[in-house]
Amino acid sequence: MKKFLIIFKRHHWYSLFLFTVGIFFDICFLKFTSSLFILFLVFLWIWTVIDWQLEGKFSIFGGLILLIVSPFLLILKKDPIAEKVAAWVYVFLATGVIQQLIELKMGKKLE
Amino acid sequence: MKKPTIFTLVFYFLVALFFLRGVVFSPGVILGGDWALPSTLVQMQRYFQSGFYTWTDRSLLGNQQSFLNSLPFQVLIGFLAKLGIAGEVYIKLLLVFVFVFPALTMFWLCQFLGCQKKVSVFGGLLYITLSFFFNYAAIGWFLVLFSMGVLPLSLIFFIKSVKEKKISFSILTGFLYSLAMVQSQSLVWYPLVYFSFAFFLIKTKKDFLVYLKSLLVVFLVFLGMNAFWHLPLFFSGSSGILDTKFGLSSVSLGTWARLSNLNILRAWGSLFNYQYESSYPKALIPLSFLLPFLAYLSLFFLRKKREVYSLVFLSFVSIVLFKLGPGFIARLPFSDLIRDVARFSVISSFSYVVLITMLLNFMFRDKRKQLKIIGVICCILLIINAYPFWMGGLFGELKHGYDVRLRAYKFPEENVFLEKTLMKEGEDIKSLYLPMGSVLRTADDKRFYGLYGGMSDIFAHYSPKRGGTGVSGREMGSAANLTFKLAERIDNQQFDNLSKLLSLMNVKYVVARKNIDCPYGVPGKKVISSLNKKVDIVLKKEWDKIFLFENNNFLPHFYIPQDIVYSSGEKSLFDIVGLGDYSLRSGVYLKNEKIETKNEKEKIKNKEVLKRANRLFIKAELENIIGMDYFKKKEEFKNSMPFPYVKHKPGSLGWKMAKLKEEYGEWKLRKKPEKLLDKKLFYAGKRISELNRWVTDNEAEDLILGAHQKKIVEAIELIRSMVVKDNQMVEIRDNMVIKIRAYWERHKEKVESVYSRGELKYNENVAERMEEWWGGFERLDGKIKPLEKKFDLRNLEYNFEIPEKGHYSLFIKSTGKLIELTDLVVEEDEETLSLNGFQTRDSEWANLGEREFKEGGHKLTLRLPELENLVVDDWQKVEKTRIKKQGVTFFPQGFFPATQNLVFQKINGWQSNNFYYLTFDYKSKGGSLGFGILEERVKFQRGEEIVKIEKMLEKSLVGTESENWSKFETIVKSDPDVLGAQVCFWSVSSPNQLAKVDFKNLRIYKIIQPEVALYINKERNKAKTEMPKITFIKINPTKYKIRVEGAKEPYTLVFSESFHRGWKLYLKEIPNNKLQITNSNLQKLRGWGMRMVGKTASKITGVFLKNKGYGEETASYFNGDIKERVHKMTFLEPATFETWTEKPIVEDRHYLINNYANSWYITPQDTSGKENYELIVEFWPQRLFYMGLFISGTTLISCLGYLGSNYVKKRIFL
Repeated sequence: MKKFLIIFKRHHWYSLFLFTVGIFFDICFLKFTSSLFILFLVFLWIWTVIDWQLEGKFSIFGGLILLIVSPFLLILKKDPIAEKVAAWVYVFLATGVIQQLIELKMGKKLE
Repeated sequence: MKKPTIFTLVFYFLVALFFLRGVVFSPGVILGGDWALPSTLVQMQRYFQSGFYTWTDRSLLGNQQSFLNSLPFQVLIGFLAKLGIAGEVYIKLLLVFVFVFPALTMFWLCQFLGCQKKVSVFGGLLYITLSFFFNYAAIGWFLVLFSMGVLPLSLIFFIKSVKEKKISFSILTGFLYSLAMVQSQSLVWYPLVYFSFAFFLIKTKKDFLVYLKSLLVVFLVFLGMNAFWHLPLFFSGSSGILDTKFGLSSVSLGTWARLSNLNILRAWGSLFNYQYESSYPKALIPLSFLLPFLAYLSLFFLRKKREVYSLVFLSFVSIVLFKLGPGFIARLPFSDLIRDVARFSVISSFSYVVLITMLLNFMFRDKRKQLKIIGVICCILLIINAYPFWMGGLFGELKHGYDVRLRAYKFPEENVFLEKTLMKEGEDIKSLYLPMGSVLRTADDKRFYGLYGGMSDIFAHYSPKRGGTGVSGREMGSAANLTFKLAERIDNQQFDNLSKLLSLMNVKYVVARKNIDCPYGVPGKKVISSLNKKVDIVLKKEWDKIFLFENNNFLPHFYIPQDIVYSSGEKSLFDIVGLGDYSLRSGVYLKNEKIETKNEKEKIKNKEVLKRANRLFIKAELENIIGMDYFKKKEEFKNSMPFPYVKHKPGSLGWKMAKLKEEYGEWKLRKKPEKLLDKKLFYAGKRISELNRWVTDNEAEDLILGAHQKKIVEAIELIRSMVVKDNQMVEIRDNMVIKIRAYWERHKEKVESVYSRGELKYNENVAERMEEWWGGFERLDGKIKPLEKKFDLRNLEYNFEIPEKGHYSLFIKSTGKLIELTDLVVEEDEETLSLNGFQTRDSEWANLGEREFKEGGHKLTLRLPELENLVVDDWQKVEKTRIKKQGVTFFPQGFFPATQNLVFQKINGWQSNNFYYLTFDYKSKGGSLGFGILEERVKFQRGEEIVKIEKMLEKSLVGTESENWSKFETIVKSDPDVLGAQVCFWSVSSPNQLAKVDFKNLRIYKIIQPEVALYINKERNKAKTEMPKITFIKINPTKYKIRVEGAKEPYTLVFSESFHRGWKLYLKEIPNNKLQITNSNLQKLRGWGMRMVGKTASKITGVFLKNKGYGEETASYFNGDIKERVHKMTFLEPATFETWTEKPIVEDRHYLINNYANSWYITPQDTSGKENYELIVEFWPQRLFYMGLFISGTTLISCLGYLGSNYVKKRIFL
């Protein structure tokens, strides 16, 4: 486990890669909703955000990208996939909002 | 707050007119999907008055009004009525107003938040073009729209109250919040908005304190202003109103069907009816996501603005509640007020609009030209997004049937004539409007037809002589049982003894409408012709489409029964009124065994009633009954059966683990057989789901089959091992057996459908496995059958309990044509009553003679003669089918039943609402046999044109490879209003096989299950008592006064209003009455407080108002025994508080009578031996309303005083 964490820290692109694969797997292949798996991915994203020092707008951007994707999935009649994408939109937005609030609070730039 | 220009107002007005052009410019009243406003002045007046009482006399039998939150709206309607503005004009104006007002307030909010004027105008427009606006307008829920119109205004004042630290703004916020309570969900919506804006408003500790102070004032004003409905709701002991978990009812759960992440994201799915969503063109689907996209885009451009985060939090409310699920919502306190999550889409929509307007404002203010262009494009796209509004979807055609829109309907003028006729009647009477229920389906206007198409029955609901019936049992209280039973009888066209039954309900008039169809498609015309045939219901007046009948058997609102009938069964009321010597002035007490077993007081009551009853009616329970309940329950179980999602393949480690978990789940419930059975059947259903998923996998299927069989067998064993102690346990066990049968049938159907799926390639292997399943189901059938009630078609066994020894007359009744009886055996002494050739007529009690019965339980058996087979060997010829005598042989080759593999014949004497027993012998090789019953019914009738449909009543495939003859038997129930039926058989061959399918000995019998009752008339008690004379007057729906004269002996006072413990009886003119009651100190203190309040209120009221007397006589009944004086509608007078200083009498003898009404048994001791006195019947929770109204009024005056003084100070001193 320790070894794994060291490797993970050294090559931090692992977390981003794992998260991307995980989210892709959850949306496209997992036919049921696993709260545990989603929670794992959310923590992975938080880890990635901290590790990569990503700004809140990245999460929001991710949410908006997925939001744009949803209608096209509906047009292609991939309703179950679109439904999962919509759930991830909320995850990204919620994470993004919290991040931005922390950023703004730290910078005290709120109007 | 900036004033809107005339342009803004006119713009919104014109937009609203354009959206509603189809209904606003059409003649007639506007009707929503399931809501309608009163249209005539009389109706508006009634609606206004009912807002002031905790008991409504608008429904047929009356019921408690727990939610009086609409009072401000009702006052507005009353005000309009006073001005003489009625009919279509005010409804149309109101509809336009609920569009213009929210747009305007949103415009104000956007301007307040710093948006440019033009952008704010667009914000207002955007607000009224959202999906929730469309849906709630189409369904007719104008109050939601009004509440959402008040919200922006309330938010402006709230922000101002915190920022400017002014209490006057907090008061205004609280005032608006109170006003918005006309829609009950505002209770939660508004605080959510205030709380979410905490982030925007609180920057320092000081701000936090100011915020808290503002919030406190808002809630105090809110509580004070709404005390008039808070007090009766929370303190009148209205259990069953706030703790019903209404959010888990099928109606509320229906809205969950439309909720999904996708819909919540774009603020869709606010209603089950899905009107906006149905009208939205598929080509524009990507545009539906523009709203959230732009709203959340503001997080990029306006990320430094605090209000953006408050609004984003608000937009998350729906998804959070959705994820928590209906179970969580139902557990929240007062969840009945919150109900369903779908309605929270209004909150997300609200936040989206403000966020988008702020974003557009940023774009238009920015110096970059590109952003301005993008802003314009966004505006255009958002306008296109409102496509359903622009294209007239609000009043357009339905896409699915359930997505009902606004419609304009011109009610026939005769309705007003009828209203005027009833207005002239001075008595306190009721009128029954047919068909019962709250929805009307017009035969002459197809817009108001179909399952969801009906219109609200406003002329019944606001009738001057009440006649409407509620929608749910929750509303109707004690009257629900009788109302539903009566409605069922009328829907089934069973009008026997209707007049006497209505007499017990104080119904004098029956209104039938020719152009309104009854449920099951029975035309209004037929109802009128049936009523015309009645002797005791006579036609009083007729117009072209409306017929007014008068009930000759009428009992006034208050009466003293001469005969007290006691019955052992709860369902006997309809039978008792049909007895030959039934006296009109009767009071019927029905024993409720369920309540008696739980409640000791009920036992004492039954004993007391039995003692003074002079007639006893005992209904014998048929032991081997096949009734409606059996089929209803079975269908309910079948329809609610889950086939859960499965993820582990049988045989896998996950599956084995899941099975272990199942075992543990069952172990936890080992002491709760009912729940354990559900669990076992749930797991059996899981196996079927697994079959559905892994049908092509042989190994998995073997495991599934074994596990399924095991679970069902375990369930059977569980029932078998149950110890049945009492009647309640018998009922539970019977229900469990029905449930297991329902699961067996549904599972079998599902397995059939799995194997008939197109993707499955048929081969010998598949056929073999199918056979294994059928064999398994047959084995299970054999195990279930011994648990089921045995029904013997000819020997009917009855049970009954005799409460008192005596000579009872034995009665028998049967539906349908004449029936013949053979003999009757009374088991107690094996005495046989020979009835050879005895016949009974349809629905009439026939007397079989008198005999003595001892007190206690008895049994009797009724033997019927040989039943008539309703089919003969008259099969209709079909090709390639060899028809031989007493049997048919098929030679089918295809898989699906082709016409050549089908035979049919007519069933003789097939009648509506009857049970039929069907049996035949069959054998098959290489295929299976199917059978069905096709019923012929009239679907639609207009003049001479009759459109008939044939409906499949029962269909079952019987498959076996056995060479021996097997017997098949089932019971089917015919639908109401059928013309006849045919039975048909067909065959289905196994793949690539030549099937040989035979059947013979087809027999269809009508099941005759006569009702048996015992009756005794204890004349010895009759005529001994001298009845007092009464004169009564209605003060208002919650208060009646009765003057009693000559009460020398005990008597029963019946009040034909639905039973409620809140109805109290007070005695006037007995000064030492108070001495009779002993109470605890606390109660004494409470009583003292109430008396003080009452005295003070009476004195204050006396300064302004005077008491009104009894007035003129308006009606007299039974040679002057009962008199009515001119009734009033007095809300307030000094006498309003006269009972507040008194204690109620005979509370322990306040009983349910006639299956819904109130009765008090009053003895001379209760009145201190006085013979002449006055009784007051009052609905106790009304006191809370008076107190609440006083608090509300005081709060309002204080607030207005504070605001007024502030205003004056400002004008004069600043």
